[in-house]
Amino acid sequence: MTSIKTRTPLRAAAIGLALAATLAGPAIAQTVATPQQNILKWPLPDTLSPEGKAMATGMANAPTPNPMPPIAQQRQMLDAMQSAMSAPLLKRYGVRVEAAVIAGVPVRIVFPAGVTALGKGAVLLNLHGGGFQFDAGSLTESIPIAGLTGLPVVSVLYRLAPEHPFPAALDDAFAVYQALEKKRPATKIAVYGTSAGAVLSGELIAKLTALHRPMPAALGFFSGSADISKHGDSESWAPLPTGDATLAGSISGYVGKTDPVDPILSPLQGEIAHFPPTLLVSSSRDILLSDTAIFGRALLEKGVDARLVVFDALPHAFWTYMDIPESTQAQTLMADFLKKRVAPR
Amino acid sequence: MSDGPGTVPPMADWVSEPARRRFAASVEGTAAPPGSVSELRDHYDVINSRRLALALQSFAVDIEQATLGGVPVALVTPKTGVVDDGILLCLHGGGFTWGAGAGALIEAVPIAATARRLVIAIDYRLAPEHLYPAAIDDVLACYDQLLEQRPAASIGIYGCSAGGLLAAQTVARLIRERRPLPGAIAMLHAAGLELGGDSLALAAALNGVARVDIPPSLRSLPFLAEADPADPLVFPGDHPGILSNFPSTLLISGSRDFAASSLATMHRRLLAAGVHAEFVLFDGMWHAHHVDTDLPEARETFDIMTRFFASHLTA
Repeated sequence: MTSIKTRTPLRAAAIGLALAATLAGPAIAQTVATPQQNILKWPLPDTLSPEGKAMATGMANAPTPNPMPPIAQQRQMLDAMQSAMSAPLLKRYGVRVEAAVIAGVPVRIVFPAGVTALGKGAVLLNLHGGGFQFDAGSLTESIPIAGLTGLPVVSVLYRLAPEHPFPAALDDAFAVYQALEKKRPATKIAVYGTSAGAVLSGELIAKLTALHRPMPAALGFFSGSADISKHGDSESWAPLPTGDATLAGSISGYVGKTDPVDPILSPLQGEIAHFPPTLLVSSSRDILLSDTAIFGRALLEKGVDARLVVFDALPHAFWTYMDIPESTQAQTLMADFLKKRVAPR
Repeated sequence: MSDGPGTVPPMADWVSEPARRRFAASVEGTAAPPGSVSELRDHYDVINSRRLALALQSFAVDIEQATLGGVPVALVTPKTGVVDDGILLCLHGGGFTWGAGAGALIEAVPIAATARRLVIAIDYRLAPEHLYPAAIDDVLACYDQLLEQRPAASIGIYGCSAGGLLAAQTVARLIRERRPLPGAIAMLHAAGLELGGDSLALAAALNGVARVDIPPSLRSLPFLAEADPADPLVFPGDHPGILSNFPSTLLISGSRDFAASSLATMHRRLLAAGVHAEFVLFDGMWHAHHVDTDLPEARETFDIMTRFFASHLTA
């Protein structure tokens, strides 16, 4: 690829990263990393693949817009990034994307080769990332997983903040989940999400718990938080590309007037013993590493089959925008975990 | 990246109050350990004896000194009786240079009582008097002796820090020699992989110490002075062919542990090699946090190890 071709997706990816990082919550201002501490600029260890090193270096050096453009423009850029990044993925995984509406909610359905309808079989429900304000993953999070599992993925285009605060996005996810559950037992559904989508997927399970509904077969909780009222160690070293001032504002658009310790908004504040088997994935340059690790430990303590995988030296949610061997490894782990539980042979 | 102690980030809200106090005291009281090997051993023995006295108040065990395969060991049995025939070998930490005696017992006593299993703490030979592979030879001498009475699958091996590396090296040697493997292993705060990555770069700042106080590497340990770091039996984590034969493995670290990245990478390499491996990362915890056996996070560590060995040992 020429440098001109790579520049736009790279910069878009950097913005995506910045946007994704805005998820982290109001407590961040307490321990903001200084420029010297910006770990994205630190040397990369030899345990990373050469491709991973090259891409991480490129992204760390890509300029971040300051100030960030208006929200509508950011959404456009991220949509363009999703389209640009999904083109090679569609080819590689031989899947087909269909726009549809389920229970009144717009969705994308990703059909693997040979599958033409959802029918009554196993299905994966994806809740994309993007700081609750953007769609930063409805294609890049779903195409590889559909391809690797051979299962259809329904990615929910839920309503976004700040126009639609909590629980709008959760209501949309729940409506689609219920519609899927009408056609098949819950044990044939697995739910997964990255970043804001991980938060939402945890909230969906918390809501199902509160309603005494049967649990889906598995949860994929990829770089998220299950308690937005708290903050952990990784916030002291993870990068804040947009600076500290805008973060509290951007998460507040989603939280709205809800109490941060609400047990649906922050499942760790409620009962988590009934959570399904859960895979958690994060990375050491991820601002949500601590939140992800803490949730994994809390699930383990309650006897839930919870597995945490941490990738050293890579940024937040890297598997959704970095086409490197580590992303393939992460997606393969995710696909294997979900498939084994939702469609055991 | 700063060269000296800076402002340490505050502990996360979910870190227990006792752990916060313990951490604050350690930042406050950081003092360089003495220089000579014998002074170093005495220094840590004083600390470890104090910790052991505390542990023995909480964990009811009997301790018996013995030899196994010609190697001195401590047999630690729970006063409550054992849960089944599965047993555990404990490989203590201490940079392969100190940590015998009280140090080994701190790591063995809580596990014997919590897991309700016989724990054999091995007093393997130490560096710099005895270099690689003396410690591994000692562990294998014990292991071979045990195999005369029981299946390998009923034996678990665990170790912290140097003991974590030693556990990996022991397993690598068994794999290379095509001998029966233990049922499961646990590596805490070090694994069979060199230090590095983000956690090593961050550790000084996160622990409020100078960079020189963080060990730069494992290969710089006197124990490995004459070993080849490229040898798969020295750092098996770099060799997928060895890793693919590993038994079920538990890895435990903390976000302030300089070895956390090394454990995370070892974990993902074990997964890539098709091994059943589990990783628990304690937010806010430091290197070898569980030797303060009264901390809630230490108790949680013992519980996690107990459940892991219960699921993976065949008694």
